[in-house]
Amino acid sequence: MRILDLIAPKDLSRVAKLQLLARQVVEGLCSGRHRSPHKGFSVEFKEHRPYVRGDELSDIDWKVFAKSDRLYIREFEEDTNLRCTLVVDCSGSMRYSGDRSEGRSKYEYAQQLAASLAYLMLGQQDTVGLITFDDDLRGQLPPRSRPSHLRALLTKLAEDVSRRETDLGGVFRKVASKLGRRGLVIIVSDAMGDVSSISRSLAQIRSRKHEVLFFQIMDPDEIDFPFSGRIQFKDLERADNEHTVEALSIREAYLKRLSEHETKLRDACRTNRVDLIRLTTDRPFADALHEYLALRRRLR
Amino acid sequence: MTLLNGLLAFGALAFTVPLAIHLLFRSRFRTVDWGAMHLLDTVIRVNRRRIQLLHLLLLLMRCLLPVLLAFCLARPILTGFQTLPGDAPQTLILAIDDSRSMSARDELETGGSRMSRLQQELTTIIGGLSRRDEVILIRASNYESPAASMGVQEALKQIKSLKTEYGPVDLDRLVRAAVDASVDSSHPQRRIIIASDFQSQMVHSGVLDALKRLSDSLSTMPIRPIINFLNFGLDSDQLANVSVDAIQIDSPAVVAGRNARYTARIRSSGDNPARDLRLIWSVDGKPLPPRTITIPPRSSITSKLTRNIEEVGLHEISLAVEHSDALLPDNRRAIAVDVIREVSVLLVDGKPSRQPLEGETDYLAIALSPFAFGGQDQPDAVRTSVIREKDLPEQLEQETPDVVVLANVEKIEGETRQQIAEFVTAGGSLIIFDGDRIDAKSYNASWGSESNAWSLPARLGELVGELPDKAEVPDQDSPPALPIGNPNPLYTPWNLLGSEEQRPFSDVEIYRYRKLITDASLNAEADEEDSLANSKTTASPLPPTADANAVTNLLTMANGDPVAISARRGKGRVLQFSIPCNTAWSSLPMRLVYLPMVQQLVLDLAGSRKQTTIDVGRGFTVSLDEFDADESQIEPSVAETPDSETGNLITRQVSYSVEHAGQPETPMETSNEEGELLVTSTDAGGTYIFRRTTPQKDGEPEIRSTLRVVEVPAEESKLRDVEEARLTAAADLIDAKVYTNMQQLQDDDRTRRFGREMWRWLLIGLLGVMIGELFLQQRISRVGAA
Repeated sequence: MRILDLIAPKDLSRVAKLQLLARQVVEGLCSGRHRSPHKGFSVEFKEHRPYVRGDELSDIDWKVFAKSDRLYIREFEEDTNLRCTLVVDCSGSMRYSGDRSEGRSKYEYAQQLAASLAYLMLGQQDTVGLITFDDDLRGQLPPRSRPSHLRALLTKLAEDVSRRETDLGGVFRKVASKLGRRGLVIIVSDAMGDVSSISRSLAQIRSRKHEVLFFQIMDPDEIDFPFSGRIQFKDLERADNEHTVEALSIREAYLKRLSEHETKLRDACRTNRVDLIRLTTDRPFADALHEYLALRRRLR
Repeated sequence: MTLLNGLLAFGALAFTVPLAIHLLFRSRFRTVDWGAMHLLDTVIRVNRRRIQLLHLLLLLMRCLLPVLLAFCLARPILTGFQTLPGDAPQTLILAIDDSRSMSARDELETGGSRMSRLQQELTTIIGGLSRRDEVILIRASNYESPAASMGVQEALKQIKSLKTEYGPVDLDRLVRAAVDASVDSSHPQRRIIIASDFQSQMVHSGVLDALKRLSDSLSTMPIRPIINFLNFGLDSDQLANVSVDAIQIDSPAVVAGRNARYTARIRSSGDNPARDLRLIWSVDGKPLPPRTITIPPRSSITSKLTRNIEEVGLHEISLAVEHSDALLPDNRRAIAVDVIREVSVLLVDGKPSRQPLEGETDYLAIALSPFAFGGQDQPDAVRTSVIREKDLPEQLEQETPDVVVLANVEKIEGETRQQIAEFVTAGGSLIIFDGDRIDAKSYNASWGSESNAWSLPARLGELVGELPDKAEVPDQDSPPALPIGNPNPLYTPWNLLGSEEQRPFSDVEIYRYRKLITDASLNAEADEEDSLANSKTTASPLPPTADANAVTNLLTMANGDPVAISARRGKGRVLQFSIPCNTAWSSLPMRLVYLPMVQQLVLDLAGSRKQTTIDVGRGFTVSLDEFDADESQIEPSVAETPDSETGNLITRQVSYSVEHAGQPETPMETSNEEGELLVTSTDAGGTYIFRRTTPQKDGEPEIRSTLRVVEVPAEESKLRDVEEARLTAAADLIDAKVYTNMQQLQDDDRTRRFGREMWRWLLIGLLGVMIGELFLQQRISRVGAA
């Protein structure tokens, strides 16, 4: 699979122009364009600070000592590589495709979004890994920064989506254990699951010092429930679960339930300092991505 | 329940359409592979039962819509309210209050009166009757006349000609007349409508008692009529009205050629002052110079007139107020005034004295001519001549007085007795006062010749009571005064003395009187067992209509013995007093009541007892003598006079006629042998002019006239609605219903006759279900959101 099979050339070019700037500096092995909070092996001087007992003698700035007769330690700022892990939901609920999303299912949208992010970050020599899941972890690629790693990522993303149920809470806990050093975790999912469980899992990820971005992918139909007449709703995750109802009669109740779900999810993300971005499949993902990065730049 | 358009009820089967649609759509649905089932599961689980219930209700409503529409178009009728077959012919008895208050204009701008509204609404009601129905029209002004049924057209004609010139109406009499009329109606379905403005005087407490009694008789009727009250009188208190409530003659008698004073009372019921009203007094229709007055809000004023009328006879005095108000007819009121010649009274003193007030007739002479005695300028209505007993024959020959008074005259015998008997028979009045000189035997004998013989109203009996010794100061040993009773309330000339409760004679002390024995008291004595009861019967006034020559007690002692009695003898009247007319036996001449008593008595005897102003609705008589009021010779009804050319006797028939309120002159017949014109009842106010036409030999008939004024009582001008609760209570007594709206009355009647139409309720139900369906549909779309 080529990258152009997943992303239109126009979008790809726009993505290439984007600069991904993490809000927090993450730890990395390679010097890159991301600033690190760790002072160490870098050529860029940051500041002096008074010597305290225990500091390395080699870090003392003897020139300053000669001028001021005081001991100061020289500190440097070092650039690091971003270690990013894309966590993509490939459960049955992600297969939904409404009329307004040009035949693109939520999973296809997630695929394109993940591919864009991977391409962008690999172009910056950041390491990008991938985890796909439904009710369990289904595929896993460790973070790499090689350009050829993009093909492996895209290949894994292009695998067929399962019809299994989502268990976000359980999966995220497993994901947390699989993640290595702290880095950026980008979750791409519809978040159709128990929010309290998700919240606990996010807290677990955050406790390992990972920065978490949550892209919630929704179809417009799921947001405004535009159905009327008698509709048989068949569950995409469980074949035996279906309901035949007068769509209008439950619309208000559904919207209210959705609103409650969204509120809880937002609260959970805010509590865990997770950035939640809701994207709908009728919206160009590159635009949404651009908006997000602009937001991160402002927050920096 | 019946259906007017039964076939349309089959449209109710259209309920199957929404049912079929529901079932069809239930099996047809679209399948959607849904991702967010995590959210949808909860919603459906929570709301499933409620959604199913609402959908069932919605289906029920949708099925109900065609059913209700079909039944609405089929016009169902609930026949449970029906009392009789709807198409049965009915008798409609309209009892209409045509009193003056019905001419009150509720809306001054449009000029519409209550009567015009009544005519309009009754025309609508009658217009809705079928040709088989009959109408009986009863007007309050003539409810005593037999009611006749009529067709619709005739009823409409009579309704249009209704006038409002009658006086106060008693509700019970009107209802009773209508109920009586319903008994004779042709159809078993009988409906009475009492159309009135229901003024407060119409439903007094006596009316409620009468209606209660009527209710008992209604319950025994084989076919009980349905009674409805149609009330046209609302907000009477808001109407501003100026009325002439009364005109009174201040002078005791109106004597020709002498000034008499009249007082009118004008009342305004408006909340604002009635300013610059023009008052116009008129005498015999000739207006006097107008006056301008202002009446404060809700108050009365009086206007006085002093006028000299030269001609003897009846004259009309009227007062008109030029003002546009709610009730125009009462802005004018009139009275008929009987202008008399000076009354000539011949006092025969049986015990004359040179000392003042010692003579037998001294007190009487003063009482009859008080102004002359007091040296005042005002004219006395009575001219008295005091003579001695021996001068009586000569005096009677010289001049015929109006009244002869025999005061303590010992006896009248011989030619004098014959003269007095003829005087009474011819129409003169005789008053006999008792005294210590009276020879009872002489008085008790028959008076007059055999053919015209008559006796006194009562035989003179023994004296009762002891006289106190005048020389001594009255003490406990003095004989007590004998208690006196009250004057006969039916004797109207003495009504002004005071009512029975006021006891006008209470301060009169009588120590001695002569027992006057009438035939009735004789019968009472004969019955020992019922003596007390019969003595009371004797004391009670006899109805004047019982017998023309019947004896009437005018005043009695407390024990029932007569003090003054009266009876007709021939064309005249004879009065007997059991006491003298001086202070010998009683203190009566020294009491205030004495003067008006003898004045009224003499004026009554002299002819002023004519009832000249009559309340509308009442009957009256006109004596033929009135046409010759200024002449001594009375014209006979049939006269024979020699023809001037041939000398043969020609019979001339005298004719009588009456004219009233611009209506054509109507011929009249004398009613009885006494030669009176009788008007049994009056149904409208105004001046009734009676004419006598006597053909003369020269061809030009001689026409003489007299008049009566019939007026509506002033109560009709006091516009005051009866309290709603009182009217409802009156209606409840006879199971009647009060309506203020003709449409509502007709609707109820329709319901009663045909049953109650249900289509309106069904239509409202249909609209309700439609709204409910829309609401439910909206509700279903919002289910679970609350």
